[in-house]
Amino acid sequence: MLKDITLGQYFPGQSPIHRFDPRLKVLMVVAYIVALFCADGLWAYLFCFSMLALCIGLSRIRPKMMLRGLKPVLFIICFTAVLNMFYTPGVVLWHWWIFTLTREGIFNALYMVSRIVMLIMCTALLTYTTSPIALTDALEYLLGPLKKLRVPVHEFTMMMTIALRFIPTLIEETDKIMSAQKARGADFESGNLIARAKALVPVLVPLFVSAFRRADELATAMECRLYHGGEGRTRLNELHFARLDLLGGVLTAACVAAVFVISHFWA
Amino acid sequence: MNEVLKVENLSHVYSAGTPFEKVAIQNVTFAAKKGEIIGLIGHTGSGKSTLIQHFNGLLKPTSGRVLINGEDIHQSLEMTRAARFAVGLVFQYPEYQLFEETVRRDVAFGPKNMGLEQAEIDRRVEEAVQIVGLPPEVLEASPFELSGGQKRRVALAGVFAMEPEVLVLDEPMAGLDPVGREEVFRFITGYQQKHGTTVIFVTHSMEDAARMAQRIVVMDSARILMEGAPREVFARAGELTQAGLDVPQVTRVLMRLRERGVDIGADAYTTEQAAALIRGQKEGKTC
Repeated sequence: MLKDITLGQYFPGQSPIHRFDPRLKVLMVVAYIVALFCADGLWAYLFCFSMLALCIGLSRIRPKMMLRGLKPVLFIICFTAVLNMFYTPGVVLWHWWIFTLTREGIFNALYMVSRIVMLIMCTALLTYTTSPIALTDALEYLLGPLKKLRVPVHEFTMMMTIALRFIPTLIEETDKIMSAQKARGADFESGNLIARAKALVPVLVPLFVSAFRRADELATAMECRLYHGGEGRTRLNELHFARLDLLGGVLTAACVAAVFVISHFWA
Repeated sequence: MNEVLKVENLSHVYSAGTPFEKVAIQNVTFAAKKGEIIGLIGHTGSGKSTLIQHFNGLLKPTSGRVLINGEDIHQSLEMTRAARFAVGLVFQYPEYQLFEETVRRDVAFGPKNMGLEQAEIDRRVEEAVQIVGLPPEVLEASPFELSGGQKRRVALAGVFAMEPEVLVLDEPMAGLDPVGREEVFRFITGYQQKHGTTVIFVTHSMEDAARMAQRIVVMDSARILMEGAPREVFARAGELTQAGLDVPQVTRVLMRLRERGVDIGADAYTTEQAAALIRGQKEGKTC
């Protein structure tokens, strides 16, 4: 159950999508999302979809994996679809009680759903092909200008790195503690909601205790290595903007421009 | 029928059908008799921890059966639950599972889950805490205020209080100083003698295995490599070394001595046995 969490999951690889500079990838995703929201009309949507399909193809991530990322938002997708279908004014096709199905509604629902699906998929592609460390590094660069406004960017990204790093550790720890309490006869599977919530106390208390202990140890270890925040800190792996990145950047810019043109002038 | 616990042709495969598939144990058959003390040794990753988690039904075998007193523990949900109480499992570093406000309530967690009467729970808790050598006033203290060694004792007491038929311990002495190891060793043997429990313990220390176990089971790459009395197992030093294990230090000293021409025999596995051997040799010479 706990092993199914896909948050921040990363599948190592050597595809061009993997090799793009993470800063560029973040910008590409932002540009793509902007394009998605500007897109209007069937052709613009098809164009956006083929861009995404091309990237997924290049990344060699299995489509099944991409679809798995949609599972947690399935409810939102269905909700959006229903809302759009029945509450868009237009040519009435069918009417019952408070539900009015319109032709415009069906189109709207289709557009909204594909917009959400593509949005989730492109962000999923980003995390699938970028290691968490590279991602937070990229964020630190991109949010760099905020440092001028005294926003502690480095500290925020360091916190994110640590949080992502400890997700698997904590999952493993939870598994271990659950086994130990089950061995003492704890029962997590039966009873009503309150009984089940109560049954989690023997897991949560040791888990919190160990999380605090780990945090303490980590802080000591960092201090021992003279960590003192972002000031004057150098990197082991400098990010480099290569020729491939330039190509990717230009292509993305061209595609986003194309979406604009298709949506606003061509139709 | 004095085989309390038996596993038959047990195999376990993790993440079957995915690229991460891993065979943890393969076709293992093994039985423990009533009142026996068994040492389970093996290299890291040889499948010991997976095996012991089958004893109380925490893991379900991919194939094969686990029997307690001749009954399959996976035949019904009630049997599986009964197995949890019949086989008390103490994990590695058990002090990290303490959670209650007082030691008394933490030790009582297991017995309470068994659905025992309050009077019986109290009796068991007090007895368990006494066996692990903690003073009664600790009962009302918070487990988080105790020292590391004391926490370990409370955690052990938590399983002792369930009075299982089979006590399974995963490296009960890991991370303790020599005095702590000696104490834990005493609690376990003390408890075993009092209740006639079957004890199975996992260890990396050949000395502990030699000293505590009546029978040693050696695991290597998902299978049982050999089993027998300490004498029989440690006589096969070559195979043990190949499995990434060793013989007790004393035995190694005796073997080296023999290589150099001082033959006083090599079948001693504890310091006491070796001392007796040397003493015997000396008396033999003076006579």
